[in-house]
Amino acid sequence: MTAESKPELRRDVTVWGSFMWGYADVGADIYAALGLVMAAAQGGAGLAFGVAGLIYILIGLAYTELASAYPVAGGGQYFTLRGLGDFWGFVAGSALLLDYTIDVALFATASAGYINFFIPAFKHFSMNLGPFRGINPIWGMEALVLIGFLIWLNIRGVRESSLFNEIIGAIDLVTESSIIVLGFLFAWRPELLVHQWHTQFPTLKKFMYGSSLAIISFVGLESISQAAQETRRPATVIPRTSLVLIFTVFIFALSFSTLGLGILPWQVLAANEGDPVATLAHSIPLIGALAGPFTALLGATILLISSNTGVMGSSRLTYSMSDLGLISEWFHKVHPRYHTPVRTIVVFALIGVVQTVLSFLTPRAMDTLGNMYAFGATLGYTLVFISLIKLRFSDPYSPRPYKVPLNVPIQWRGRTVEFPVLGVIGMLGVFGVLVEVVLTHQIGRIAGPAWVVACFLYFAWYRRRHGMPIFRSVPREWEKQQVAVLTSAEEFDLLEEYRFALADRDRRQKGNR
Amino acid sequence: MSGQPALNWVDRYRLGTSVLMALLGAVVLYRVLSAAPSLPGVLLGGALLAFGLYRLSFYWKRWRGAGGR
Repeated sequence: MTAESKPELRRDVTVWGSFMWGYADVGADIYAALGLVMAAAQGGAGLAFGVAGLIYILIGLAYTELASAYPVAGGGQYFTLRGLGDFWGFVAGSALLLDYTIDVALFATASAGYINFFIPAFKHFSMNLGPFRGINPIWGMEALVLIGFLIWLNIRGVRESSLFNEIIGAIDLVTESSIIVLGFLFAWRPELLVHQWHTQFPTLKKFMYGSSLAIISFVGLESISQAAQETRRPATVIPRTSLVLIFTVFIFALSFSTLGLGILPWQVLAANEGDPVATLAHSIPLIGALAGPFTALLGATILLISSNTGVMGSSRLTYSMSDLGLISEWFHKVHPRYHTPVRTIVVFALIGVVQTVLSFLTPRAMDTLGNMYAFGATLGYTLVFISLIKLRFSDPYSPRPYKVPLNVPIQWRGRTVEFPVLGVIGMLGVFGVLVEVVLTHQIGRIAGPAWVVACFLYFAWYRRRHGMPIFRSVPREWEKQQVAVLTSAEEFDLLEEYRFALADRDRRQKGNR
Repeated sequence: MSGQPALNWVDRYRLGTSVLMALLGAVVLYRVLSAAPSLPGVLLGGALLAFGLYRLSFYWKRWRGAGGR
């Protein structure tokens, strides 16, 4: 097959584009998560965001190391496949794919929630439909229209949608910063924060539910690594954008929760789970009358971008999975004109549509979607941490422009390996949240594993049909692929470093014979 | 030539946000400690102050390195 007949993803994403790709996803989460976490963690919502945020920082550092070392589409799924083999790579991929599809549904729903800030009749609409009580089909229809718009946008190509992300993301950065600064200066009352902390701290079960919901702020980092194959000079760009993103989002999440509990009772934010940040901005004196509607408009837009990154991420992830022989090549086709993976965009956005419809058959659609979200993320990230540790041993030759800090040098088979202590701490932290999810998420603990099992059945069928092993890996030429990736990314210094490390290894192996 | 490195608009933006972060962190810490000490408030104020000062330290090193001592 010639190069012309097999189009590849274009390297179009710049430093700013890479940052905004992640920020649009992860930075927007607070707009959706604030009300949900307040409803669960109550007076302890600030701590719930803080605990989840610390784990998120560790996940971010792990992704930064891996995405800059292996700058290909696929993210956590690819890292796990490199580290643990095909089967676990598929498990991680299916878990993260679940999150991307929920990402599409959850953030389109939240975006519609902020639109409804201007139409209270839609916001408070409720009806009974057969056995389904207190549902809001108008809100659901709005969400479905938004998903349809995103499908069209993504089929048109990455250049257009990245530009869309970048402009709106920049406006949002300024707005969120302004709300935080003005809110803390003119409206925040530490006494109210402390009062809620002391008198309305949640039960352990509620706190666990709240902190595991707060973890939904993590998929943005996965988005950056998904975009790695389309990023210019990824090994240089990704560490810069990821590290800035990690701390920006951590500060924003901690700020909004602390600000919210110092301005309003948590019940007010929980009652407005469709538009909590706009409700918060609206209550700031002097600027509230303007800030509320403006934040609602911006929230609707930034959440739409976040939903967009879900469409983009799921299509890139399945592109990678089909490339690696985990799912059918049918998904691998890219559009001959726009160079976008059109089939995966349509299929997985439609799964998001189904999730949206099902969630709107429950009285709290946002909570239902949030409930399902955390399972995939925590399962995927646990596997990524294990892979990070394993790859330090099995692939020390690939250059790592960034390494997770706090490493202990140990001797392993005649060479020194830097053992990542923070990787182990992060793995235990994320696994702890996965346990929280299983204990407290009534829908997620059923729907999440059911999704992974259903995907596995497909995987087993596909691999058997093509004569490939199910639990073992097919032979791969990782070294050739790494050379091709670094060449395509124009990371020539790293390519030189990689070739030198391989040559050094070969020389030593010959010497030992 | 003064020997000072020129600041482009990105540097100025970062410098501005770093100063803002450090100031906001100090305000939050002061208000929390003087009115009603609480873990989330101290954490947030401390994080803002530390992160702002950390970023400012880069510009300070750059300025000193360029002969501005």
